[in-house]
Amino acid sequence: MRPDDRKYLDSHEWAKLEGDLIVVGITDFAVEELSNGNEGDLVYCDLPDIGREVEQGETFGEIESVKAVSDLNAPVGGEIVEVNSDMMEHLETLADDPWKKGWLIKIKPTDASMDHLLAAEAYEQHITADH
Amino acid sequence: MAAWHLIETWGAAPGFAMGLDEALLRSVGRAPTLRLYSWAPDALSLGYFQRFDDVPAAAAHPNVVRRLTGGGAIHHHAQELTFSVTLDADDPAYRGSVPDSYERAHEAVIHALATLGVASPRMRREEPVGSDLAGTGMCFHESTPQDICWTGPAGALAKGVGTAQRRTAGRILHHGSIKLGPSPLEAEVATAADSAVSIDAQAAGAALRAAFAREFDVELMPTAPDADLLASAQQMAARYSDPGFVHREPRPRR
Repeated sequence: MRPDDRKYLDSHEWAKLEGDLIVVGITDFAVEELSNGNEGDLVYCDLPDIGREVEQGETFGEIESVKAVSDLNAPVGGEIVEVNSDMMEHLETLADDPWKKGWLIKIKPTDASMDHLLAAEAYEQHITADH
Repeated sequence: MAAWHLIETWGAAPGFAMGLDEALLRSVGRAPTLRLYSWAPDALSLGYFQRFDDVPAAAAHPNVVRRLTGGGAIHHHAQELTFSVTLDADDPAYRGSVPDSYERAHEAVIHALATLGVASPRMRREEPVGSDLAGTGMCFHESTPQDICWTGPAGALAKGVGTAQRRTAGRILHHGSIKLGPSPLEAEVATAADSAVSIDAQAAGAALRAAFAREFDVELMPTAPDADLLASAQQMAARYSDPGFVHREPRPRR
């Protein structure tokens, strides 16, 4: 079971409320889907500049593994106020700890509601049904 | 039996070749499509995140485009077959992890190559290859365990097929390049000619079409791009050879 302290997109991003910010990352499932199971499979991650405004569902970045380039989608709309630049230089963090150290961006949301996102149980059902 | 579209565009202009793949990728709801094509004039395609300066061959080449898919640079010349598969990410053919989808598609490519007479094409797995060369930035000079290899010009196992995927908005674009004959920009790479197979791109495409139909148990229906698709492709084509896109500087890699 994935952490139930956050919500999920069916495209495998997670969103967690911390104070008045929404922290965004990708799930262990997303990392596994992109990888061959080898360290170094994730080769590049392009994240946005601080200050950029994103809409809910908009692509805010891209991640490249040895075999695929995938979009990163914003679970909520708002202003990007922090970017995990350490992670960009150490992509193995995404595989080692996608839930904490592997966070990608923090958004100051225009609307903090996450009702449109999947709860952990629904996300589990989604990835089980699709795969 | 599911029906896939088959689009053949022989001698495609470089920008249009990439624009049509993007238009297919962004056509949500469109039937899975296998596209077979060759390029005219020949071109060098950079991977989505590659730096122009990391590919020494690019500076001297008159036709350079940037792909939507990742990985290294590829020389698309007269003795090469390019293919693309575009479909929904939840289509049974590509459902599951990225490596799993490669396994299935590569089984089809391997079957096609064997049908054509290429000797013992197989996924590299843990075998050493002679085509891995540092410093060229070329896709065929870097291999992963799933890359398709056979005996190359130096008598050693070498990479002969390059592939990469783009996944966006619930859709997948899978690019592939099959080497039928050598290019001076891709030394040590395996080609069909190394197995004494002399074949052009269209004949190789026919074998690939049959192999995909067999592997995925689908019917491939020859389909001409409709006016809307062509208009989208033409609109998107300009970006691929635009100097700003070709020479863009991705953020520093780790």
